[in-house]
Amino acid sequence: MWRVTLRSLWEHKRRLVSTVLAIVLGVAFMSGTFVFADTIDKVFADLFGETRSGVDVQVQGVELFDGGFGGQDARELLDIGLVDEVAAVEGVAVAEPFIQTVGFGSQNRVLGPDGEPLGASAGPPTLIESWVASERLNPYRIATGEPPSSDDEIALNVAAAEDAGYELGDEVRVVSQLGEATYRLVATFTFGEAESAAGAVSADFTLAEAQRLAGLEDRTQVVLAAGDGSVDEEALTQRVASVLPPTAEALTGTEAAELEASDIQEGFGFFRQLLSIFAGIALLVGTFIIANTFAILVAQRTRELALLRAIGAGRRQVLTSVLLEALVIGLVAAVLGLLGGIALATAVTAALEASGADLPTSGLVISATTVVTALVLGLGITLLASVVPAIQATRVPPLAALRDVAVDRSGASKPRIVAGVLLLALGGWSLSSAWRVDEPEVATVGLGALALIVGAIVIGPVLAEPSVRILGAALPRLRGITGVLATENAARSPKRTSATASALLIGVALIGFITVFAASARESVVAEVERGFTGDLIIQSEASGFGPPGGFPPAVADTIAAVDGVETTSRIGFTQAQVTYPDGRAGTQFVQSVDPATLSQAFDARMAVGEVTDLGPGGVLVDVGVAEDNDVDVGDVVLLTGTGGQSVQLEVRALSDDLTLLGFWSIDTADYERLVTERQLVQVIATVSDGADVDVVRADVEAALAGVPAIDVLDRDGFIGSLTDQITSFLTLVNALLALSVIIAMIGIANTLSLSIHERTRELGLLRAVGMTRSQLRSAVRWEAVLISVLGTLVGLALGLVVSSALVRSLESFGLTRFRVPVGQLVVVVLVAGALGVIASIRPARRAARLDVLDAIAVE
Amino acid sequence: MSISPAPAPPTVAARTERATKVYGSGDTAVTALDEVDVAFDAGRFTAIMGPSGSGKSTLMHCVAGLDSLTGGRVLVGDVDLTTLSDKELTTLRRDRIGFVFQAFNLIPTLNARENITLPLALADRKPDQSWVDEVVATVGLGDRLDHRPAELSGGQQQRVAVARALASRPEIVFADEPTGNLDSSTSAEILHFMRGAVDELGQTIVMVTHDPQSASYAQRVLFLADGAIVDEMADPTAERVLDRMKRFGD
Ligand SMILES: Nc1ncnc2c1ncn2[C@@H]1O[C@H](COP(=O)(O)OP(=O)(O)OP(=O)(O)O)[C@@H](O)[C@H]1O
Ligand SMILES: [Mg+2]
Repeated sequence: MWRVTLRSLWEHKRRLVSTVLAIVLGVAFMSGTFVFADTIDKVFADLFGETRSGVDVQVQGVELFDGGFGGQDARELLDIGLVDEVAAVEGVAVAEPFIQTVGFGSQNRVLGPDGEPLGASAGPPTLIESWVASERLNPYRIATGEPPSSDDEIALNVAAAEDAGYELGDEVRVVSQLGEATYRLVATFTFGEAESAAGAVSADFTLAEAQRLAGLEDRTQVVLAAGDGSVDEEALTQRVASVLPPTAEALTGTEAAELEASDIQEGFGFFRQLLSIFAGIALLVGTFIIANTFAILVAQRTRELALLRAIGAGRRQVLTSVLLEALVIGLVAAVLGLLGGIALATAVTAALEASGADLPTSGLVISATTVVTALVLGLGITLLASVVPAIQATRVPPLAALRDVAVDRSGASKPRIVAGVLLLALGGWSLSSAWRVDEPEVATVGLGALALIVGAIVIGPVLAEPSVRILGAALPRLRGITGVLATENAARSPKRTSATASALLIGVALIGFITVFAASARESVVAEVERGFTGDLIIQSEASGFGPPGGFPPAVADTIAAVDGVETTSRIGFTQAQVTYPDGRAGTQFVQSVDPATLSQAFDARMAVGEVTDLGPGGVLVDVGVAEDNDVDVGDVVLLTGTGGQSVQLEVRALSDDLTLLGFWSIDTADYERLVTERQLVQVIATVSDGADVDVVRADVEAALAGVPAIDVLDRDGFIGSLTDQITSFLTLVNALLALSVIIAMIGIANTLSLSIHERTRELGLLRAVGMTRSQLRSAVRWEAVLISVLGTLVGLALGLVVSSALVRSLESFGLTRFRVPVGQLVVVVLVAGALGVIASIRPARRAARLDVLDAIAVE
Repeated sequence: MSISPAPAPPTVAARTERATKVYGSGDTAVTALDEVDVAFDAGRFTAIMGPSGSGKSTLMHCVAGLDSLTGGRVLVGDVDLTTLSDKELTTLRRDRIGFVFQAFNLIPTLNARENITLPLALADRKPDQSWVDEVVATVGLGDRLDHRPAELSGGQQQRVAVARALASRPEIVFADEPTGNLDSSTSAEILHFMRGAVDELGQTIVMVTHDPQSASYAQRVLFLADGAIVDEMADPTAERVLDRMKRFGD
């Protein structure tokens, strides 16, 4: 069996290529994601391993709460006196405090001579640190100069200093929560041998200055210690631990390195998951295609299989032969996919390095998990896809050898109709809960969407023929007999057409869903801002992609207030905090700080209970939905704990109902200053005086803020634009990732057509004999492809539309108040799908046109 | 119209000049046609006979523009096929030639009517409805026109094929063993019909056959052996053809 299978595969090399391609792409995407993520993980593991190589013990505050979505965990701060206590432990040779603040956006940035911040805005961050004197504890090595010894001195890593063109003795401006300050460059340093720590900008100060910049006077984040060699790091760590207060904990240097690396890796874990989802979609689409391909191949080989059976091959042998073929194809796909993934990861890493991220890559990491995943996916999916066709192959009766090959098998079996209708009904009913129920569950809507899509795929073969005929109704008039043939061919094997279109349907449904959803979100946001935003100008950090909002120094608000023509300013700050509810439960939440007195000039927020002005020091304003979910009401007292461990008790004063403008939790600026160690504003909203020209004032504010890096001064339209831009770039990213599954679906269309054309050889020869020109033949194949792709696209879009309308409806309480169908964009999707159909048809059409007439009509 | 004009001398619908077809080259070369000179008169029913491998199909394919010669010329009307491009040959087949093959004559996705008018549709020409009706009526398919080939018997399928070959009023119809797969009574009907098309409609038909009975429907039989015309016979009967064929065995 092996020999027969391998030979038959080798004879159809080209078909093999297009068959495996559908799986290769998905596997490549998946394994590429894995390799890249593993490589990045290793980069950071190495980095922190090196950072901590001389550290035996790291003392840090106990965890207060998890930072959530990629954020750093919040920990207790340590009293600076703890350093001496650790140093006094027997066996400790040296102990030093260390403070590090991460900067991006407009705060905690080092400016170049041109006033622009050093480092890429979306790349590695800026690290504002205290210089550690002990060489054993400090991963940095002085390259030139002497470490900072006075509070107006700074040391920079070599790469940052060189990029900016700074020389020792130069003045360097740094923007922190305290505003802008100037330091004298006294040293440059390397990170081990490297000129930067993975591309980060490292700016080091004296301890006192680092404390001041971070808002940590008399405190430190960690204490680093090295032993005198009398005991190992575990023993030393235990000794240190015994002298610590309950708010602190001791880790060995190794553990500390692992912890830091894993914090960063968690952030990348999200990225790994995200990309894996899209790779999964691509693989799902690939599964459809390969299953369809196998089904066609088995159908085409009916006669051959029957012959095998007739000459005495058992059912099992037939099954084995088909499964063997799948095994080989799956193996080839898995290996090629893995290689493709490695190539992909190499390309992405290279692109990242080219864009400025200085990754000290010691080569790609190809873990056993990656290899196993690729093999399991490639092989598993192919085998899975071949099971049904293989079983069908065993059902071929030996007598079929004597009959003509029956290609057209009807798709409308009764169980299929019943299952399809049931699923569609179930999906429809679940989705309709968005309208039927007062507070619809998003999960119900999601399940409904799934049932609807599966139902559509199940019932596809039943509806494929009539749908194709309806779609192609105009073709005969437009394209004459070519159109008739295209329509008839697309309609002739409903199962095939439906499986091919279904592969496309999946990707397009998601694209349609996301597109409509984003358009609705955009429109809702615009509507909310237009209704509620009453300010004239808004000052915020330049959009930094998908990270947390970039902050800027609070002093910026005063600069703005001082500009001529600015009437009022209202500050909005931001932090993460842990909220402890009256019943004792706690959770990490986004909290913003506002000025209640001026807030009403900035915007007219929608309130559920009470007024914005009810908020004052000691009060908190909660979104009504959050309040309901957590059983909180006006008059209740909640405890907010900040990232440094400071906490404030606040009374719920009012309930807001305006996520777009007020978010989940709003507190008074005075309480915010007690809650956080590092203050940052995310927005200042200004109104201009009567008679002043907004454009003029805007220009004046911009001029006044010339020294603040990466900050935008926007009028209403600009603000709306900045919000919609974020949604648009999200949409673009998601659609770009979904494009892969659409491309795979197109490969499926090309595959199906090629196989069908192979099957129709004689028919095509006849057409050519009676006078069909090559271009007419190509045109017929092309229109067949267009029909299939437009069918998949239209059904996909329809599903996407229905699902997004239900989801938008069920998210109304989250501020999604509008449903909008971006007709133009959807038309583009259909046109693109049609065009891709044409592209998919190029090869099969050429093949059809190349057919030799005489060969084709020769009677066997 | 009381005096009918004297019958015009037969014009030639298609002819070959030293038509040669060699397959392969060197030692393995097979000469399928060896400098064949033949003319097919317009308005006549010609049969081509000969042993298997004598070059009948090759001759027909070359005259019909389905295959190309390696030497000599083929003319359909005044057009020298050897000078035409693939596209020109295709349109020539579509507009001026009709085909009936032994089997697999019809497009399975089109119904009988669509199959019949296929060459016209490909040319984007409006069918001459009265002519098509006449052809259909003569073939006797009236109530089966909306059926797909799979729903027709073998004989009915061949009738549809003949109707298609005639529907575009081609200058010449080529039929390669059109009744090879049919029983004798169905064959007879089809051949009778083809002869009728020649006699009543003035059609030109060239038919390859193995069967002396079939050849007897023709007005002239050409005998082919080893790629050359070796004999011909006018107004054949089945017995005479059979006698002649027997001599090939020697
Ligand atoms: N494509 C080809 N390649 C090589 N030789 C060919 C090819 N087609 C035909 N021949 C050879 O040319 C010769 C004539 O073949 P042709 O098909 O014209 O014979 P035929 O008279 O139609 O025979 P039959 O009655 O069996 O149909 C034969 O010897 C055949 O082997
Ligand atoms: Mg022949």
